[in-house]
Amino acid sequence: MAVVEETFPTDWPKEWQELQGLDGALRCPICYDFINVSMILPNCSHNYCSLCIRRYIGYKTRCPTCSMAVSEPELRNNRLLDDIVRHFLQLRPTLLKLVKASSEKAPAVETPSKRIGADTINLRDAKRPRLELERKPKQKNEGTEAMRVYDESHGLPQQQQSEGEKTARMDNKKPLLPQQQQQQQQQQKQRDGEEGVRIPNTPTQFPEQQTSETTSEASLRLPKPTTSVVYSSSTSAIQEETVTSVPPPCATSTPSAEPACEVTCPVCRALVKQHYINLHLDKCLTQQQESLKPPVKLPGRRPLPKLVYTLLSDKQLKSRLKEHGVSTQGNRQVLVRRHQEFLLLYNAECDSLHPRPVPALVAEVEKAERVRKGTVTQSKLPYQRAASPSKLEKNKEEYLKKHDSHFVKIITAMRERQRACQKQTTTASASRGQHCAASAAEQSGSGGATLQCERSLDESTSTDSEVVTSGGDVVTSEAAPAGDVGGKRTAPSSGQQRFGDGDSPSSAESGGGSTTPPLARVDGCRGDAGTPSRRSSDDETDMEDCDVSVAEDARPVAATTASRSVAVTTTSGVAATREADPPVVVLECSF
Amino acid sequence: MDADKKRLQKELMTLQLNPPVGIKVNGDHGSSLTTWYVEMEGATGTLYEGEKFQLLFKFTNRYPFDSPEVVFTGTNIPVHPHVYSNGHICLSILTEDWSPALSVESVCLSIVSMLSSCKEKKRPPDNTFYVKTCSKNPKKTRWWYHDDKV
Repeated sequence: MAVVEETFPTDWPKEWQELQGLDGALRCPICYDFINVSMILPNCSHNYCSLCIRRYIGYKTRCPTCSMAVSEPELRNNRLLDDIVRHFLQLRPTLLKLVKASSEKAPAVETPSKRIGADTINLRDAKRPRLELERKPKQKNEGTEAMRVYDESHGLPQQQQSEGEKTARMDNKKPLLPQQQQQQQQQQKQRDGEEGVRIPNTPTQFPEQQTSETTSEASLRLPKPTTSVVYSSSTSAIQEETVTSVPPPCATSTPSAEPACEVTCPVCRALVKQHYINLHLDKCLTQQQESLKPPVKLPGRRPLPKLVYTLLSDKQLKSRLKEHGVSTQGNRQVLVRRHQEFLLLYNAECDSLHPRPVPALVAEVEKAERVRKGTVTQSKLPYQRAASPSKLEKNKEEYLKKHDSHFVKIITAMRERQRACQKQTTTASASRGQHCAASAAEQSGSGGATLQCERSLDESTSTDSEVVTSGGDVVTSEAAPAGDVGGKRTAPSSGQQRFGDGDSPSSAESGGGSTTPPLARVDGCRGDAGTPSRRSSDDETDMEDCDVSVAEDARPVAATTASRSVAVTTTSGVAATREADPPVVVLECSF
Repeated sequence: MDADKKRLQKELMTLQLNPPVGIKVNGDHGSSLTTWYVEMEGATGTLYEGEKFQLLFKFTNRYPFDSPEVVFTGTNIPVHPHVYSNGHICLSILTEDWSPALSVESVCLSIVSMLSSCKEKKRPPDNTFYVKTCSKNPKKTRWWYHDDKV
């Protein structure tokens, strides 16, 4: 539903209080928005959004407005109200404009006349002619309460009101008569004809139509009024079953024209010819038994049952989540909460006439969860998992272009620090590695990315002579001094990885050696001391993004080292693979 | 925007645009969307006429399903049999009788009405003991609502 952001009942001018009232009445008392999929509480007739009231029932099983006891299965759709809200929302902007224009135009005339309350004709002449068409349907739909209010204050002619109510009743019927019901009717007619048993329909269906079509069988039936009254008062479940019942016994296919004496079936109270009564009774009884089962639900989405989470093992809980494609990351508490939220949304959506697809619900649940955790940062690289590689590439390029100066700054800063580090290379390599890591941790305030770069750089330079000797200048970047040590190959890429990913600093570590399979790499780094932050392990998406960026972000474009060729292949979602990787082993050992 | 934030935003806007008599949302205190300071005046013709009070509302992210935390704050705490000297209010709609159909406005009005119906200005009998032992959050107190006259 296209709800206009931040609308208030007080948007309406003060002279149009009834419109304020109408606007307010169509809003859910819980969320203060226009009711979305309204549910009526049968005991007290208050209406709420499906999601709101279902959520509230989780807290307290009472009506929020009047504290009448209520339970979730009691909730009923109020499609009429949905229609009203829909129409009102369509109408609202135009109507608001018109009303505002009219009240600006003639405020002097209207306000006093309103206050007096007697000069209503004058008022209506001033406002109605233009607005009549738009106002009418709303008044009809708004229901009796607002109508009455309006009548009392302005003396709306009685005729108009009754007209309005009539139409409202017609509207009321519409949603109650879906295609299926008509089909049922059709089926029933056929069966009635063959069997010679008349089973009337619910009072909401069109009696005229039915009689006209079934007059040919009229001789077989008694006058309908009695039967229809009796039958319609019996349970609807029986009726449904009768409608969908098996074809009639063969005997019924030869109805004789002779006026046989008819008897009332003791079960369904229908009138049946005497010599069919046994057949009919058999059928009736079996049907009655069937009807004790819950009525067949209309096709569509059925609400999911609630779970007793304490009785479910983690595994079962996860499988329940997986069933609907909901994420299974996180601890038990998180999972339970997530499942509850999903269930709520799912069941609320079942009430809708056109439920949204499940994946959309899942996405909403997960997004709401991220909002709750407060971890919703605008993703710098808004990827869809299913996005095409070319699109990803394009995004990446744009991003790189946009932040180019930043990267350059980081790279130069990193180089300087590296040079400083190189000066100390005379000391023992292993101890220095630790020292550098510690210094990195110390500076953690100054920017995680560069820290990580530096550290990974240090690691590679200090602990792994092989890397140092092997690397040419892989960094394609501007101002890369020739003869840089090989450690640089890993370092700049990690810096970019960090910013490309925009996540936690530890993600930089995965890029620390773009030459290694990233996951293993991350693990390797995790063992390290003094890492400022850790990637949250449940962030699967980010991990994937990170992997991509390891491969694609590598602005130190595809490694053309002198001695060693490093192929950075990019597959969507999978990280860089490398052909020759002895350093990997060494690097991992160094931790 | 989250559902609770959206509703709070709506309430705030409505209260700022059309405040009821004697009630004003104070935006000066650097209040965020989840912490409101509401200025309140004692109703005319009551014991509290002319007095000004300040209410502090704190909302959790479960609002409106969960009641807000409401206490009197500032220098002037009304002397009332249901208001403790630390600002805690013994009012059922703030805990167990809370309903999402209530709002900040209705809570304020309830408190004004509670003050207005007071016949004698006095502190609750267990004031000193309660103030010494209570939690900072009035919602953690188990209230016993026994008196519906005042």
